[in-house]
Amino acid sequence: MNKAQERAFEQFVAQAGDGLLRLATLLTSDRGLGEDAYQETLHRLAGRWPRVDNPGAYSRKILHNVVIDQARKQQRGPAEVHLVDAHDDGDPRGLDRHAAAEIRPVLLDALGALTPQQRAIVVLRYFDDRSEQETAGLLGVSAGTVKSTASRAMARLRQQPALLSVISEDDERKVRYA
Amino acid sequence: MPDLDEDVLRHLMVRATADLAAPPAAASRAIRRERRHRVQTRVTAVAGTAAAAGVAAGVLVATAGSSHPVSGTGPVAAGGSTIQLTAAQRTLFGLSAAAAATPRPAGRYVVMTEQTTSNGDSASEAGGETTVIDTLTGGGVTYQDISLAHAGGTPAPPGTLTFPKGTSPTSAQLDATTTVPAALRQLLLKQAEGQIAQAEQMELQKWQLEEKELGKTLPKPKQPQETDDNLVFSQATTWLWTPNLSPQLRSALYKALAAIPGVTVKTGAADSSGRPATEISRHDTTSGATVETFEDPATGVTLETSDVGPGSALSEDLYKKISYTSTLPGDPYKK
Repeated sequence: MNKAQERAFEQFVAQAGDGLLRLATLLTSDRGLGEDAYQETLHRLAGRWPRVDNPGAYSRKILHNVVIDQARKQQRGPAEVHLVDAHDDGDPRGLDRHAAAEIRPVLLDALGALTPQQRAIVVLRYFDDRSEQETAGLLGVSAGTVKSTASRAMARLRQQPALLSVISEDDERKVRYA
Repeated sequence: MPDLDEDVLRHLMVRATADLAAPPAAASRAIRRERRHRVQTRVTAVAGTAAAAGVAAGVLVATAGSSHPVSGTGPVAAGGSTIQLTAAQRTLFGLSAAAAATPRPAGRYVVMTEQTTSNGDSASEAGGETTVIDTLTGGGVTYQDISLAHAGGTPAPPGTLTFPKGTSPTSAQLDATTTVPAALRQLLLKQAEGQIAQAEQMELQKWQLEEKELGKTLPKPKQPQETDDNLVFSQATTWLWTPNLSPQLRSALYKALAAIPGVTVKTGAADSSGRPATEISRHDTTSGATVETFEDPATGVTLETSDVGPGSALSEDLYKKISYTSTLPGDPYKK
């Protein structure tokens, strides 16, 4: 990367970094792993930056690969106990930190109960607002697979009482009348 | 009981992560890691994704200027003995004979999976990166790049891959290359000098651009003077990394290496994946780095190459698998 490319890279990260970190946290269903995946994604993106046409889509594709690599590594290595979420009081910079601290561990647990592909599909579809076609392109599967997997994942999430218990009337009301 | 539908889930995900902010230093950390990797990584003639000439010479220039002793060893010789000069030359001639006796496999496309590491960090994706070289046109494509390039769209189906031209030498070009060791040395030297001139030109342009952007005078970049032997060794080992060399050319490259002073050969070594190997290395006094290359003693084919830089910084390129095929292979990322 030359200086101008480095500046463009920094600018992209400044704009898209928070979103990517949040996406990474949901895709890994773990705050610590999400931060690792985010940093690794930036590193791989930096390596390919001069050849990147669409950094938004490109970074999501890399992130997905990183998350898969992480999952494989975890399967090979000894089980790790992550304490971060147990003591996750939310980031004090956040406006909604009490809500985040209450919802996040429950939501990440619920997402963690999905298969990696189910998780990737619900997160890309409903958090990242990717269309079925875009999600299919990012994950290298068919649009039909995206649709059926999303439906199975939603059914599984609905079976998680802890997740249902954190849905407030506020969530429902805001969504219904948005 | 509250109902969980897609909209409610979206709202929950947004609320659950709304307080997460990316650390401000993440981008600069990624840039630093990338710079470090770029300096350390040895660029191969077959790297289908890089403008090999410019980058390779850039590495030569960028790592030069230090004379620290090398403390790292890279992949360790497994109980092998160190042989100097004459014995080293004998081993190199042995590799030359093995290479001459190993026919080039049939098949237009070379499919190779490489694992690149830099200071123990995986620089390529886990499981390695797979590159297809079209030996007829010299084009090369790395699957992981295709997969990424199509992010957000539909992945390219097999058979529609487009190869950028001129990134790798074609088999015809390689076959037309001299196999007389002395003439080959001159060719390698000329090629290396051309690459350095190109890299110097790029450095100069970058320097001019930075001066313009910053609006102040910056010191002109200094270019270290490489010795002919440094250049020929570096170039010859880079060529050896090329999979579609003819047996005669691979054989001649070993003979050219045998004529370079300071080359160390270890027999009974192993590459970082444990495969038996003959290790060829040379300390570059200009850059302070040691280039190590690990060859299959039975065929003369390169298994791995590594650079041990000053301060024992290490980068490795390991060939995990090379195969040849007549039909364009499909994209393993496509499910």
